[in-house]
Amino acid sequence: MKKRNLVLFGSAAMLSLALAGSLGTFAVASAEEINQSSDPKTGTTPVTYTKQDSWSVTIPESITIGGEGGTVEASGVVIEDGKALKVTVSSTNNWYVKTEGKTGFKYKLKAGGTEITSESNTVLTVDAGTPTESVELTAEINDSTAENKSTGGNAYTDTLTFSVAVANAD
Amino acid sequence: MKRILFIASSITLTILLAFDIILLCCVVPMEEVQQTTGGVVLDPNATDERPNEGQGALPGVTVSGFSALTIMSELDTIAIDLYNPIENNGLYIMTFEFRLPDESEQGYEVLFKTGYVAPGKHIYQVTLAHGLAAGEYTGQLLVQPYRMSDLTPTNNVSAVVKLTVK
Repeated sequence: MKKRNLVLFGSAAMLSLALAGSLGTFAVASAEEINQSSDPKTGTTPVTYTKQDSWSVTIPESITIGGEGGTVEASGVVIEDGKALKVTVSSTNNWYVKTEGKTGFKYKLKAGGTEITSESNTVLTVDAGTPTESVELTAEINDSTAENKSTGGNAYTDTLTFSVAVANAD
Repeated sequence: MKRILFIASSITLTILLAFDIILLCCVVPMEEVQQTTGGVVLDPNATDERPNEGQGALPGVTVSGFSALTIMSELDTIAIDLYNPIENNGLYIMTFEFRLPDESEQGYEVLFKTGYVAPGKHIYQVTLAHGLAAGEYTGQLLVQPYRMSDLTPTNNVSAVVKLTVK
């Protein structure tokens, strides 16, 4: 009886050891650890690189009709390959300079000599890989009634909004 | 005789010297003589050219922006980098407002709006009006500069931003 128990105990022990050994053998090494028992002895580490789009745009704080105008400049343009930074412009008063209680005067804005309209309002396009671009803006009166009228010493104004978007290059 | 000649020469030289001094100090220069021709005195400051008023082209406002932003869903405080470039130093402060289009009368809701940001300063964290569900949104970051001299608004920039909520 004692011999039989010893045999059984020994068999169980050996089986446990075998199992332990097999677990040790067949253990799958984690991605972060490669050791002598790893099979295969290789691991992988992902490498990632992420860089967000960024840009700076300098706009004129205001433009004087018939005066010096202003410059729109895009600089430090970092965008995805195949994309372009596009700057468009819109007028708060639909291309009228106004003062309170008055009708105002229609004017036209030009970018690089080309007239800007509500339908064609791109002032600047910068392709990926081009860090800096600029264009000159000028404004002139576009109102046949303006010739014989003054503003009475008041400043007639409008506000321009420059929209910046990154889209697929044309 | 020699003494008389010496005295006469001295007197002559003195008279000549006095005459030169009078010519240098008191006689009207030739060009002024011309402007008084005909008896009309013209103002020498009158000119055909408008003088430079000293302003030149007005300074530009520099706006720094981005086209994409990723945030976590349902969080109402997010990390971000809103920057008023140092190039605007002494000239412009600015505010940042993020708009999402919706069905309201004004066509958008304001997700966040900052106070005035001084040149050279960043805002690294903002609180949203509410958290957002996961998805992709197209928003607008409106950057409004103001003149530091009188806080009047200038032309502004609206950046289209692809907002990814994870």
